[in-house]
Amino acid sequence: MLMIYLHLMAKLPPKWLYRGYIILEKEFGNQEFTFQKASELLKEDERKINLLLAGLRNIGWLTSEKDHLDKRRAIYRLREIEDIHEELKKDVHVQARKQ
Amino acid sequence: MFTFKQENNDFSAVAGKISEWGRWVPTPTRVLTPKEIEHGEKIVNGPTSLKHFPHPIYEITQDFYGITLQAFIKNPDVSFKIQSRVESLSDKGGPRITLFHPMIDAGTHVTDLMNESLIDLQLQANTDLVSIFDTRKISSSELAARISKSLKMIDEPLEPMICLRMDVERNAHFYQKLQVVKDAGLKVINVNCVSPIKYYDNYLTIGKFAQENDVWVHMSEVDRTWRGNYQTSLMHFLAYFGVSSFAVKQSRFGPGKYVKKPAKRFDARCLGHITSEEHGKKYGEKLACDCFVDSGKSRSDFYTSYSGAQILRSALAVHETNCSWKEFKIFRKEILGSNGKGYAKRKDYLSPTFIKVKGIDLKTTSLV
Repeated sequence: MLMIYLHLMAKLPPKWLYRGYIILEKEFGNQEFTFQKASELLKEDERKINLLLAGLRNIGWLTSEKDHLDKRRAIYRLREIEDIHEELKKDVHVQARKQ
Repeated sequence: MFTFKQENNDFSAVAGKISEWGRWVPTPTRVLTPKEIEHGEKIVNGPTSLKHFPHPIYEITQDFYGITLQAFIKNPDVSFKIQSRVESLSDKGGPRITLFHPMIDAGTHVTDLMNESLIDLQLQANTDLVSIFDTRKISSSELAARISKSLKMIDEPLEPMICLRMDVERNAHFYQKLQVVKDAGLKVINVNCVSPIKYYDNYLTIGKFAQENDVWVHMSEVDRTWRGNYQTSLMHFLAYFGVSSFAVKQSRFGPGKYVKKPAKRFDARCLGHITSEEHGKKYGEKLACDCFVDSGKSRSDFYTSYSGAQILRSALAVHETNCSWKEFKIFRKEILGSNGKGYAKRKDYLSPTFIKVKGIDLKTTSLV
């Protein structure tokens, strides 16, 4: 996976987002998780975790929805890493053809 | 974004943790450079990965002569080329914590405009630490103003890092600048490696500062060997000045006049760069390293196979990069166990530097 990653780096978002994603992905895979669970794992303050989750959501690597049991709470789910790599691979090929 | 926490200091060496997203990088450590990746690519005949170089931190180095800096801010063609180069070097580092260190001549004055252009370049190049540049001519109050202006350009979670010049004559001036950095709340300081004999006072100042504060001191442009004997691994000695991470200097000029001299290989057992002959006398055939260029090889296998394939220089560089990184982990344990002095005593090539630079004889532990 890392080999692929290095080839694709040119099309990847900020490195700090990628590192944050990898840590979340190792723990949760594509299972649902809450802000609190992320916070326990990442051991950072609320502001930084918000920054990471918002960043991942903006680039489409994370989805969030309201918890049907408690509407105040959001439930997060990461996009599968293989999916992301496939998409990036396509992007790289398109870029290469343009050049 | 990063937090640096000092865990222990002993014999002026500092062991700490650089934390991000609940994970941490142990220090002191060695930082990977693009040139070392290039050497690795020659060995594996293709792209390298974290498997080949497990270093979590990566430094992009770029030469900036005075004339290049002028052109960089005035000529869009030049700035585009430099920008593209730095971006591609950044990509090469993969997901590692990335920082940018331009090698700027001591005499070059970095103006505010140049500083801002260089910050822009880093923001575009996807670095995690963003350098703010000091220059020899500016006073500490001017530096304070520059820092506060630069901080407005750097958004969270990117981390501002001050690039301080160590080659300033007056120690008091350097000390004042460190105070400015402390007052501004910066947690990462990047210094350029200079002669530890000529600028000894500045080394003492940065060492004391590192021991008293939770700051990550990163040193760039470190020569592979100490110029006193061209054998002692300089970065392993400079770790005794509170520095937490090191990146080796990238050669500024081409190969130049070819002088035939025996190849020297880094050996962690003595922290020296030694010839094959000396290796044979000291340790026989055992390489005592399991990095990917060494694994399964004896001393003679190593030299025969790599020099036969004309990649000995790359193999030596890759071995040093990995072996020295691992050795810093061992050193860290010794600092945590308050055995920094005992560690130095065990390493043959540290003794001459301790005597010459610090004036300490490790055998008797007395001042020379």
